[in-house]
This record gives sequence, structure tokens and C-alpha cells, in this order.
Amino acid sequence: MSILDWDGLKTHLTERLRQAAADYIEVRIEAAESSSLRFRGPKLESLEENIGLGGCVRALSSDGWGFAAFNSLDEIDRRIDHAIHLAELAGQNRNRRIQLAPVPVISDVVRPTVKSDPRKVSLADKLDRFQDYNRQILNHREDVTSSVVSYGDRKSRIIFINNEGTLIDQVKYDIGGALVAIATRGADTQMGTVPFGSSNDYDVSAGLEERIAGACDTAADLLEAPSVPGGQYTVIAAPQMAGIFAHEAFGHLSEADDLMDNPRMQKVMKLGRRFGNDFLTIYDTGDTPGSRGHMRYDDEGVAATRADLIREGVLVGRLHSRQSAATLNEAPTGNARALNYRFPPICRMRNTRIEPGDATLEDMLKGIKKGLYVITPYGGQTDDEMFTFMAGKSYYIENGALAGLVRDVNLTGNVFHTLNEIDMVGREVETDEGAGGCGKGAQSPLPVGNWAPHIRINNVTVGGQSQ
Amino acid sequence: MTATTSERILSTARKEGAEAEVFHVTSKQVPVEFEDNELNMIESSSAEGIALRMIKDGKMGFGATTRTGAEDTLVAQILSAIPFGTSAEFTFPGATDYPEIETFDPRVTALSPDALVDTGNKILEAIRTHEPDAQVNISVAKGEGHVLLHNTSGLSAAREHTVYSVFFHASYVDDGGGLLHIADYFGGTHFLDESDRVIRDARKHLALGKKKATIKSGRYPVIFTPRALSDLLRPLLACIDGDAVARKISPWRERHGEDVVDPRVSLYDDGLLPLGAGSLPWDDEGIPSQTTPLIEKGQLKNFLLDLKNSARLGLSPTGNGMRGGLSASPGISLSNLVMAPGETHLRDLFSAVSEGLVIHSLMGAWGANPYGGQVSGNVALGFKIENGESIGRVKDCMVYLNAFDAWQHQLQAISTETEQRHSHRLPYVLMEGVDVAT
Repeated sequence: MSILDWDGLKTHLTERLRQAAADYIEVRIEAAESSSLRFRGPKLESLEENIGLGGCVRALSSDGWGFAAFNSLDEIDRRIDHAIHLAELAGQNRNRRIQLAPVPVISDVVRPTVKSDPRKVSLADKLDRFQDYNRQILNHREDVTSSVVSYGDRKSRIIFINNEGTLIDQVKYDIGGALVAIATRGADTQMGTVPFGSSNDYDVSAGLEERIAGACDTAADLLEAPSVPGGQYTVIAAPQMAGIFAHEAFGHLSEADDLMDNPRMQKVMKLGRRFGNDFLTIYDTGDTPGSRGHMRYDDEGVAATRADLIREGVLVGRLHSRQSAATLNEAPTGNARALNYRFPPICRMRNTRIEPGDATLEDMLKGIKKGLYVITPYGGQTDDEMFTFMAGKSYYIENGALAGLVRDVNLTGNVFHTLNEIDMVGREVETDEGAGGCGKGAQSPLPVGNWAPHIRINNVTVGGQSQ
Repeated sequence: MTATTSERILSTARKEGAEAEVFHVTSKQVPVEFEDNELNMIESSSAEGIALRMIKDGKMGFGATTRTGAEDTLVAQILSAIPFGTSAEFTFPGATDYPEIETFDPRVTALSPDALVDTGNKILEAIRTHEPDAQVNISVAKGEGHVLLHNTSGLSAAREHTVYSVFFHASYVDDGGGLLHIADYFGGTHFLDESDRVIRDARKHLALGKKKATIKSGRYPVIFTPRALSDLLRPLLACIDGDAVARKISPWRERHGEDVVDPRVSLYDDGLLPLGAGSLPWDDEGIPSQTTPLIEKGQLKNFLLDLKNSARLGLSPTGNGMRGGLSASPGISLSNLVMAPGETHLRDLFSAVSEGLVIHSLMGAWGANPYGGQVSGNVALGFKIENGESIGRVKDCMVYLNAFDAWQHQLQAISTETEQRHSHRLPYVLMEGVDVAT
């Protein structure tokens, strides 16, 4: 990444933005190098190299936004003028004011402390590691017949400059992958997955043999498992599932850009409203080195601080951009993120966490007549009120004890009722930095982390055949 | 980057004793974004880049760049990675004739940002006059793309296309804090104004969505609208995907020519569908587009294939080698999905239901394992039907079915009416005995 004249670019843009006829204007330039590989079954399926460069301008003028993304840096000056022109055009077509919460002017160079740099590991070594994992899956047991082993890393350097004097030069890493064991019998196929991810350590991909063996057994055992009958259950969600739950059930609803100009929703989401019991605290933070959701500054140049969403059961905050913070008269939190230079920043999660409580798994199992223990997540979705989250490995619970594997478990809930149904929170937090990421609009997958303990939820509706 | 860049890369490859393919894209996009009942942002973006595949000594490498001037670095990186690369199972195709198909509409490129804003305003005002408390988001966008494909087998092709699209979303918060979401879209390669339909349907659904209906857990007849149908088709399409067939994962891998679903079902991948957003003269590997019967009268006819999987299976490619983005190697993807209409009028589909549901959209119904056929999702937008009439919205419930069983044994009727949106042309489908859990 040395062929670019970064210093010259910074000087030019600082001067250019200072003179720009806009109320607010920012430029992001992003250079990235990435590699990925994927085995499917015994074969190496793809090996990809990517060298990216691009930038964007976002301008605010006459209370309208203009945005322009481009690849050729020769276009920067023209694109700056064009973004301002588009902002004015947008402003002519709207009535509401746009204000940005004041934030400190920042001049900073951010270089992560990298434990093991994936860009310094040779291709041969990476292939060796993942080839070995792939062989392990394919040789583990007879009914595990196929595999998907994928790995990718990305190093990017992003400069952010605005006309308030902020200039941030950040280097970021994103490392992640998933090792999937596929078991088949006749037309039946089941999977077990080992996800991993980090923002500073290639070696999160080392030493996964034991987890792989577990995933192979899960896939094979699920072939034997019955489908879960539809109905209502008490559900114990293991940390990975609880993390997805927090993300889908409350994280997205807390994204304040969807709320800032929606008066009816503001009434529903009034700070101080009780959503859960005293022992439920959910927050989101960028201050988690190593997490895929780690960042010192967001894509508006705002410090990515801890944002408490629910504290002791009560709604206390949200995930803000500068605009949503100003509109709702709350403090900015550094949650404005863009997938890359092709997109403007919008309110997103970083690392979303449920604070630990004091329950043990044993406490949670006690007293459950009919329930489910859901362990590995396949993913989830929300429309801000209702949400779903799907589980891979799950057990029936009968009369307080685990009673056999079940499969095809897709749970649904309603944020206005379900959080209140959480009656126990576990002691131990586990991290989920899985591959993939979060989607909102066209911006997917954005790296995030979900950290949570076990939680127990009553009255959860589960899809399935009628009993 | 220009055509001469491609020539230079190909000649470097030849000197290195390698075969090569250069995929060069330039594109422009102008979306105007309305958020919360007002125009929020006007965007104008351009993109340019190349993707490169090289084959040497039976191995293949792939790389992409959006950095002008980095082409030689990329070529060097790929050549050094190639010894570790994937086995090359095919060679690049040579020059051939392509079907004539209109994919570029100058009326789209001529649209000014003001014209896009006007369309958004028209929809916005029509909805807000009807329902002042609705929160409306609209994205109206025009785009154009130009692709050059050159390879060392002598292929040199150019194509261009336009895209016009309108996405609409309205939400309404009821007094109890419940949320109602209505979403719709239209568009394709050509300028086509369907805003009147969007407005009519949205008004209807907003009014109906505010009425609450309940349903008890049990088995019911359910009508899936064209927009909800893709969740039910996903398991079938996963089995038809040539990659799953070649890897012996598809349960249908040995069922070519057999009856796999109800004989009233015919399903096509149509790369030549007029106005279809996925219509192109050739796919992203230079194979001519075609209309491929996937299932005809219930019988499995063809698998979807790109170059790699057609070579693995010893079959001809079907023109479905698509790139998910510049930096992704080609893989199998649908062009346009078409299901043949049935013989029942939509109104008769409804009158056949004394108690059941009509589902417009499901949430979370993408199974992790499509080959098992399970479709389980939350009814994001669905209405209770009583005696043939939609009477109000049901929510907080899950529907569950197995797509293989459903398309074989639970299909009651397919509508004569089909709807074309973007890259889909699909009918309404009535399934009986669908499990509903509340």
C-alpha cells in the first residue's frame, strides 16, 4: 500500500475541504488488500486476491445530503463539487433541518496492535492449515461426507477527513472464516460449524481441532434427531444464541437513524421504558481490541464509546450517528458505520453484549417441564419488532433435564414481550466473533461481535409441525 | 483502465505460458433516497475495475482490482499463487454468436435526478394523503453498466445494460407500539413506471394491516403471493444448482428426467426474459444466455450450470456463470426465475379458502439446510382469510412446511395471474395443510 502518496492526499484534501462551499463535508479514502480461500469437499474451490482502492464524499448543504463514491482518485475534486451539488438539490426537496451533534476535532493515527499478522503468513502456510482442517472433517467419520472450509483476511487503510478539521488515518484488519462439516444420509443433510474471527490475530484460526471434531459429531448426530414440533417452549439460549438474540431482538431496534424522524416510534422507544427484569443489561461498544466489532473511531470520525441500551431492565440509550444524536438531543456514541467507501455511514452495532448475571445452567434447567436448550446459531432476522433466530444444535428439555437432540429449530419473538420473558441470566460470558456479519439495507456483511452469557426465556414460539 | 489494459494483460499471460480472461466493468449509479417521509440523500457513484482469471500448468488463479495501475502487481500476485491454486477443470470459451436482446434503455440513462425525485414524491404523497401516520422510505435509482470480456481463447465481447429500480417501504406504529411493515418494488432493465400499482397495493395493505386477526395453531390452507414464493422455491433451486449436483449434495442429483413435484409445476431460468433485471446476452463467463427449463410439468429437466460445473458433469453450460461482485469468482446463479401460470383465477384461489392465510412476506425463512426442504418462518406480513376474504393481519406466528412435500402433495392451485418484478415472474400459489404455530 505504499504506492499511494497518502501525505500528499491528506494535504490536498484538507485544503480542498476547507474551501468547500458546504455546511459539512467529509471524504473517506480506502485502500485494501484481501485474500480468501475456500475448500468444498476435498477440492480447493477458490483462491482469490484482491487489491482495492476507492473513495467517497459526503456533503451536507441546504439541509440535504449528497454522496458520491468513485474508484479513480483522479476524480476526487470533481466528485467533491458534485456531492455538494447533489446535496443542494436534495435540500431543495425537503423541509426538515439536518443538524450534526458537535464532537471533538480529532487528529489521530491508529495502528492496531497485531498479535499475528495474516498478511505476513505465506499462502503455502495458510493453505496447509486449512487443508489440514478440511482433511480432518472429511476423515472424521463415515456419515460426514462433505465440508466447506473458508478463510479470508483483509487489511485496509482508511483516511477520514472533514471540514471541521478532523483527520484520522486508521489501519484495520478483519480476519474470519468458518469450518463446516456436512453429514448426509439419503436426501437428508445436516451441518456443524466452527466459526472464528478477529480484528488482530491470525492465530484465532489455530488449534481448532477439538471444536472441529465436535462440529462433525453434531452434524452426524443431527441426522438422527427428530424435527422439533411447533409450539411454545421455555428456551435456554447458550451464549452464541443469546448473542444473536441480543443483536436481533434489541440491537437493531436501537439503531437511532430509524427512530430520529419517526415520532410514533419515539413514543414507543422512550428512554426510561422498562423492557426487562432488573438483572438484564445490554450494551454495545467499540472498545474491544480483538473483536471484529472493535474500532477506535466510527466512519464519521467519532470515538466509538460504550453505549448502554438496557440497564437493569430499563431503556437508557441507543446507537447514534451524529445526525440522530442531534435530532434526538442525545450524546453521540460512535455507531455510524459504512461497509466500505461505496456506502454512506448509517447506525450500526459494533460489539453487542449482555452483562453476566448469577445463574448457572443447572439453575436454569430446574423447573422446566417442556423446553429447548439451543446451542449453535444459524442466524437471525428482525423487522424491529418481531424477530427470528435459528438454531443448529438443540436439545429437548423435559422435567429439568436434557432429553435428546432436536433439529430445525427456528424461534420467534416480539421485542415488546420477549425481553420481559427473560427470567435468568448466566454467569459466564462467551464471545462470538463468527465469520459473516450483520446486514442492514445493502450494507452486508459488516463485521460485528456478540458476547453473551446463557439466558433463559419463557414462552417462546417455535415453528414446526403441529403436535 | 481501457481495452488496451486487457490486451496488455493477455499478452503478458501468453508470454508466461498461461491462459487468461479479463473481465472489465465500468458502472454508474444514481439512487435518490427518501427516508422518513422526506428526500434525504442524492447519490451519484461510479465504479471501475477488472477481474482476472489465469490458468497455468493445469492450475487456476483469480484476482481483482479497482486500483488503476495495480494491474501488473495483480498479475504477478496471481502468477505466484497459481502453483497453489485450484485445479483448472475447463478452458475459457472462444468467440461465438450471442442472442439479440435489448438490455440498454436510453430512457433510463436520460433520467435526471429531478425525475427520480419526482417519482419518489409522487408515491410518498399518495401514501401520506391516505395514511398521514405512515413512515415512508423510498429509493429510486437508475444505473448503467458496461462490461468487456476478453480471453486468450479469442473471445472479445462487449455488453451494456441499464437498470431502473424503485424500492418502497412504509411502516406504521399502532397505539400499542406494534409495527406494520409494507414493502414493494419494481423495475428491470427498462424504464417502467409501476408506481400506481405500488400505491394501490400499499394503501390496501396498510388499511388491512391495521385490522387485527387471530389464528389458532393448526393446519391451514395458505396462499403465497409471488413475493413470498421465493422462500418456498429455495429448496428446489438449491437441488437444481449444478454445484450441489457435482458435489453430490443435491438430493436430486440422480433424478434427471424424473417427476420431482406436482405435474402442474413448470419452472424456468430465463436469461432472455424481456425487461427482466437478470437478462443479458451472455453470462459473466461469455456463455450465451438462454431459456432453460428446470422443471417442466413436474419433471426435472436441467440443472443450472457454469463453466466449471458443466465440465465436472460433462454437460453443456446453461449461461448461469455469474459474479456476485467484481472481487468474487464466477459461480452459479439464476438469471431470471419464471414459473408458468396455473389455471385458477386469483379470486377463485381466495374463494377456495374458508379459513387460512395469505402470506406476503416471511422473515427468517432461509433455512441453513435447503436440501432438507424445511421452510420455517415468521409471518412478517400475512392476512387471515375467512370465507375467501382477507379480514385482517395475523402476527407473532410461525409457518412451517417441507418444500419437497408441499410441492408434491400439498399444492392445491396456481393462479393464472403472474407478476413480474426485477428478475422474477411468478404466480400466486395455494398450499393446503400448512402448519401454523402461534
